[in-house]
Amino acid sequence: MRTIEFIVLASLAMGSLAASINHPVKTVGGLVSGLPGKDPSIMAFKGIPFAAPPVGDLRWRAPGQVAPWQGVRRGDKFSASCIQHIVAERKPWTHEFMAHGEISEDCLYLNVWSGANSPAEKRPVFVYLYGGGFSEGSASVPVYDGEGLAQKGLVVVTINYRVGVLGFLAHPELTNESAHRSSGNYGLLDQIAALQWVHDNIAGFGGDANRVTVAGESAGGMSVHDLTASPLAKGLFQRAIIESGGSNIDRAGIPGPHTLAEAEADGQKFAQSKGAKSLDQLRAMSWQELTESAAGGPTGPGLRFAPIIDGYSLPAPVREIIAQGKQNDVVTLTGANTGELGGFGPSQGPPSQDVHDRALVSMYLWARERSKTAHTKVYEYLWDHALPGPDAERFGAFHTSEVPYVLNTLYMSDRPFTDADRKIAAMMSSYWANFAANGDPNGKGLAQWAPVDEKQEIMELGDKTGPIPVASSPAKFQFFEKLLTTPGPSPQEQARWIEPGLGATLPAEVQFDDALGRLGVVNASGPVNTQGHPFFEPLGVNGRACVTCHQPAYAMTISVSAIRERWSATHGKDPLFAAVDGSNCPDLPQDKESSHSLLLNRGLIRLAIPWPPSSPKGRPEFSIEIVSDPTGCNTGATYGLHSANPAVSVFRRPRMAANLKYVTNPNPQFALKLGGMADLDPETGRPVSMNFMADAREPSLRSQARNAGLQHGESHGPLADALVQRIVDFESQIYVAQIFDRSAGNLAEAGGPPALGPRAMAEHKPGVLGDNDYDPVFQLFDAWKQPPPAPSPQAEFRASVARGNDVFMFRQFWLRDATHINSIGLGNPLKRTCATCHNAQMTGQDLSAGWVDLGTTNYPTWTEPPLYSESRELPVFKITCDKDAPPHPYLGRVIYTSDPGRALISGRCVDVGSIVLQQFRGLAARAPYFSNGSMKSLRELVDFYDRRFDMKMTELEKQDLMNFLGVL
Amino acid sequence: MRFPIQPLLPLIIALPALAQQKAFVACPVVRDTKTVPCFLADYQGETYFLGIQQDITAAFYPPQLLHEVLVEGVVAAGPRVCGGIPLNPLHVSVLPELNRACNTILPAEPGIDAPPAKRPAGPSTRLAPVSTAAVPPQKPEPPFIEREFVIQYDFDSDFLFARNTRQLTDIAEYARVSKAQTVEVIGYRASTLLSNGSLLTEKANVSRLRAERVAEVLKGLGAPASAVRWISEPAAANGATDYQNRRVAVRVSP
Repeated sequence: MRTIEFIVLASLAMGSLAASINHPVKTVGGLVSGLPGKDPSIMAFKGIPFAAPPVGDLRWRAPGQVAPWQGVRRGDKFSASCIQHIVAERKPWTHEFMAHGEISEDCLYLNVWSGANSPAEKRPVFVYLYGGGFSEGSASVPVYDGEGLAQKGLVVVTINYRVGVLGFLAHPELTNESAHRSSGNYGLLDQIAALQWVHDNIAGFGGDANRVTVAGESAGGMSVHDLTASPLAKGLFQRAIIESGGSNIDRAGIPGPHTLAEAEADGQKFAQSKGAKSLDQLRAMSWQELTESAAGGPTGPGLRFAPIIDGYSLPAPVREIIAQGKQNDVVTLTGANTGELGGFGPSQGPPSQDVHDRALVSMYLWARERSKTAHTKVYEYLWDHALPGPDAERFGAFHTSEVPYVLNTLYMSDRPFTDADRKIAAMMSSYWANFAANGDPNGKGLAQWAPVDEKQEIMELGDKTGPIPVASSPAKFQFFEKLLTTPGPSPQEQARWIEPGLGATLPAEVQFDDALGRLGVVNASGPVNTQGHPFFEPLGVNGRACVTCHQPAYAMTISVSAIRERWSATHGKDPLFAAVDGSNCPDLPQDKESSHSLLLNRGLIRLAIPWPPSSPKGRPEFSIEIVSDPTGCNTGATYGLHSANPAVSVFRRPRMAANLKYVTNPNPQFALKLGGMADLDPETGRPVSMNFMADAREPSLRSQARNAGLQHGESHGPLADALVQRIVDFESQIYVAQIFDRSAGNLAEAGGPPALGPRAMAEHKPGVLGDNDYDPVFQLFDAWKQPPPAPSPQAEFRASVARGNDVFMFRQFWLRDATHINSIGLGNPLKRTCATCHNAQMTGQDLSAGWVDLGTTNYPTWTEPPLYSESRELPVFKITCDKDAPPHPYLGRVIYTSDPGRALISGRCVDVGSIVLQQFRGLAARAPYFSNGSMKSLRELVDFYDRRFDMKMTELEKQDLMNFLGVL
Repeated sequence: MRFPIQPLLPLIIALPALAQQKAFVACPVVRDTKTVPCFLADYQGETYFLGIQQDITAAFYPPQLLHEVLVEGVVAAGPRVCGGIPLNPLHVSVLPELNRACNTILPAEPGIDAPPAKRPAGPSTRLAPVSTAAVPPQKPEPPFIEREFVIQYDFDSDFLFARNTRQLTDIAEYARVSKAQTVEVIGYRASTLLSNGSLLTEKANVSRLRAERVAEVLKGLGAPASAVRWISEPAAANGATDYQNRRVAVRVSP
């Protein structure tokens, strides 16, 4: 009691220093005292409980009533933040944007800032919800400080809500114990409880309970959307501000909210992953156990903890509720930032005009859709001001960068703000404050901001302030309006050809028609939002993205048929045909089809390999001369072998960027084909597979992505590590394989051959040697060897496939004169089978670092027309090996080749013509075959092997082998 | 490089056991059988059996068509194998230069059978699984004393076959466990005295190439060499144990 008296006196004493509301203030829980802010006219009341601590048995329950307290509660410090992984900074989000300090399950507290002198003032109230992807964030994040807007006459409230698994776990047992037969939206219920608290108590702080604005950014903005749709929040607020919270109709790449059933299934998976057999066991676990792999957020592949359609707090998707006119219809201010138009991640450079147009048209159409049932206005903005500070040019007006301006809290940051920033902050916070006060952002001294109407304009704010059209031209508006409002193409159609930057959803599982049936694609980590994803976004000046040449519909490479379609559809303007490597040579006239003949006819991309190579010790063991140069690129003055930057132009197929766990699995430290150590990844120091590029020139997917960004994408500079990691993460989780064959039917049915279908690819373990008769390369086809109950064309075809597997595994022939197979101790010839070289289970690659001179590029077995033929399309080089160097084992010291392969990297004569083996999956979706695209069909492929190794296959054997390859 | 026989006569006379010792260069001949192929070589009107096709886990690595083979062996007692006289011990080296004349595959004939093979002429079987995965090194046991490990090579070659790499893994492990103070790598070059009296000498830089490649591998395995050297002068050839001189010695001193 004595302590309380002291606090009261001390508080009164401080209160006497400045005009401010009398305190302690009475709330439903009891009295609370505050402290003056930096501006002594503002009182801050921090850490006020608005609900019972959700701990113990109250974990995963709707927030309960605050337990009343006696005396005066000191509102002098923030409460702990809700459970999450605390990160000091994650650029561009520097420390002032991040949560700091203590975390606890006991976190349901809010903070109030008020400059009112008495409850009678009834100042407008501004409740702010943090972002953080529903997995992090806190009411105590520095830039959310309430004093800035309190100085503008608002009573500001920031609140905590539960995040991650503790805020959004659904589970059948939780649903059962709930009186409302729902579970999952605890974080949302916290927000509603806080709004209820504001409604019941804010008058004591000088606020007007009937003039409440609920505002939020990112996940906070999404929450505001949900609150406008929640019947539980009805009447608790009168205005809404949604910053970067998805006020648009573009659902491309954005998974919709889970239904209760889906979320419960996720919850069960989560419980299983924790070894919990019951809800009681989950509740008995510490939060550390629950979040140890979760960082407070998603806990495993495909699990997502965010608001769901729980049937109680959210009866239906927000869009449906608005369409039905059942929303809490309040005037709304909403917008987005230029730096996030391509996605919410850290941006690199300004968005392309198309991305810009699409985003703004989408935002405009959201307001237009809403206006069909709403009676209130919408004010929309585009924030364009780059926050000064580290990498300002790179990050621009990034996601969240508007917050310190609109909340008037530049003082919480140590960034190098100028007077211009302070002017912008004054303007932005005035718009926000006016809106909170009057439901209209306009006011004295501010540029006029019109609500959204037929004019197709929104307000640009920041560096430029004023109305702007939402699209760069009426035609563009119409194009995107049609694109966004036409009943959407199916996910398959949308992803059939993914154009960089335009956004498309890549579902978790999807199928695409191909030459023999359908290709199956599995994204093991769940649906992929391609919007803003670096694999799908233009990387540099030529507009290319990784996806340009690695399309899911074509087994993560591209087929010649697809390439030709793109040429026709775009008249050769698709970035695929970029001069740098999508043409026979950059100095050819790019508008001519003939200048792209190697890409159009064989699917080949030009690779300019520097000569001499930099990697081997000393000089290369051979010299290189150009014998024939149909493209002109090798003899040309600009790009040729004797140019200022000497390079050898070779032409190769893009490789499959899928099933990569098999391809990057490092086999032993030794590379049998090198006769020594495998290359080491300079980043990790670990041996690498040397198995995912035609010449194994890059050690890792990371270095490959960086190099591809620079060379194929012509990026402005090296890709940032975070972007590289996202590219690698995506590539590493996508699996492809044929899933349906027109003759064999469903390839992935239960009881069928176990290696077929993309799901089998995703689930099988890598690194298994399959050159054996008990666990073979593509496992057993016994299921299709059994006599069918009744003869049918399907059963007959399946039997042919099973025989084809036997040809592949067991049909002996003389395997000879293949460098790095016969030359590594196995002898020449070797009486073996296809599986000797194609021995890696599930892919049919070579498990060891796999370059081999099969003879596709070297004379006399090459797949090109003869040297003297006019139809020759590829260059021919003459390689002359030094007399002291070990010669090519089967061609000696003078070799004619259309692609020296690995030798251009190693500089070794023995490697001339050696190319890394490729996967055998998804073949029906990605003709032509071989690194030089010389085999247009599986028939040609099979015929080549028959000739090359004098296999003397019967017609039936050839047909069986083709059928077998076609179902992989 | 082959030298005339004259200067070497005293050396040959000094080795009376050489009658059964064979060292010659010839084209290998492949004899197909109903199982795995046999590898043979003809020399002075006689056919010698070299070995059969197996895989890289086997002791015998077959020769290669389009290349001559250096055969160094001792005629063994016992019946012919696959039509050839067996040699034991036997060392075969594929000579690096191309020789297109070496291109004979004889068809399978009744009565000419290959000896039993651990692995058939197709995929491996459950009885003889093959693994390319790294073989875990044997954990060395004390006492840890100075040890010299010898890696042997084919003629004119510095290539480390699978059998050599397993050996190098063991050496690196010994160096690691014994906390080696020094790891010395010494490369050697050799000559082989052929049965016809000529001398076949390896290329000049092979001792260096061998030493450097072994040192590079040991470094990669975490046992960097404290000294790497090579001896370019080949040891005197005797027509019997010359293959032993094609080597790298690794001295590990705890």
